[in-house]
Amino acid sequence: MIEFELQVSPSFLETLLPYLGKVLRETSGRFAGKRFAPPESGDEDLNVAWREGLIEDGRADRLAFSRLLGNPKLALGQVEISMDDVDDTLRGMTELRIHLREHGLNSVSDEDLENGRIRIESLPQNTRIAYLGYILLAEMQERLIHEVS
Amino acid sequence: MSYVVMVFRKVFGYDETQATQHMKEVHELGRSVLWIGEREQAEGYVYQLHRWRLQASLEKDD
Repeated sequence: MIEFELQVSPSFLETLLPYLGKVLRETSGRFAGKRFAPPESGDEDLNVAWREGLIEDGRADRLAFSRLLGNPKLALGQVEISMDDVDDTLRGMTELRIHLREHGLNSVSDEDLENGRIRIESLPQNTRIAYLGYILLAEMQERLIHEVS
Repeated sequence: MSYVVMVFRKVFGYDETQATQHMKEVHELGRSVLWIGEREQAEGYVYQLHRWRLQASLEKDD
């Protein structure tokens, strides 16, 4: 079991965790087929297997992340993830970050996002919560990778 | 960035230095040639990178 504590106020998590749960439900059933298209081969069986494999894998990843979200300790900043769930959870978080980047944060430049040069108070409400969710996921990923490496 | 380094290490078995170098190439140049070899194995690597939600593609080596 991997365990660590986030340095985040509970009130912050009280807002963000339900929001991430909502985003997780939004990504369910979606698949970025163009982004993750199989190499051109003319082999239709390969194309189908590729796409279905990624959809199925993505489902497992989202499920692992939903287990983390469903743990009541997370609301207190305590992250607990079984070793078996680590990779799936990391991928699930990445999928959510991609979704947030493409939907909630499409008005923010890559450079600003990367450098953290964003004045949160200047963002519209929807963008602000997407940004904070994105940052929370990034923090959890960094900590998780640090813990397992 | 540590996510990308971790994935390169897991998928290709690179050490920290190699994986970091490829990550920096991606960051600075927008792409990095991660592996050269037979098509079938390359397809497997691309699938794994897609599995980790990293964009990757195959190119024929001239």
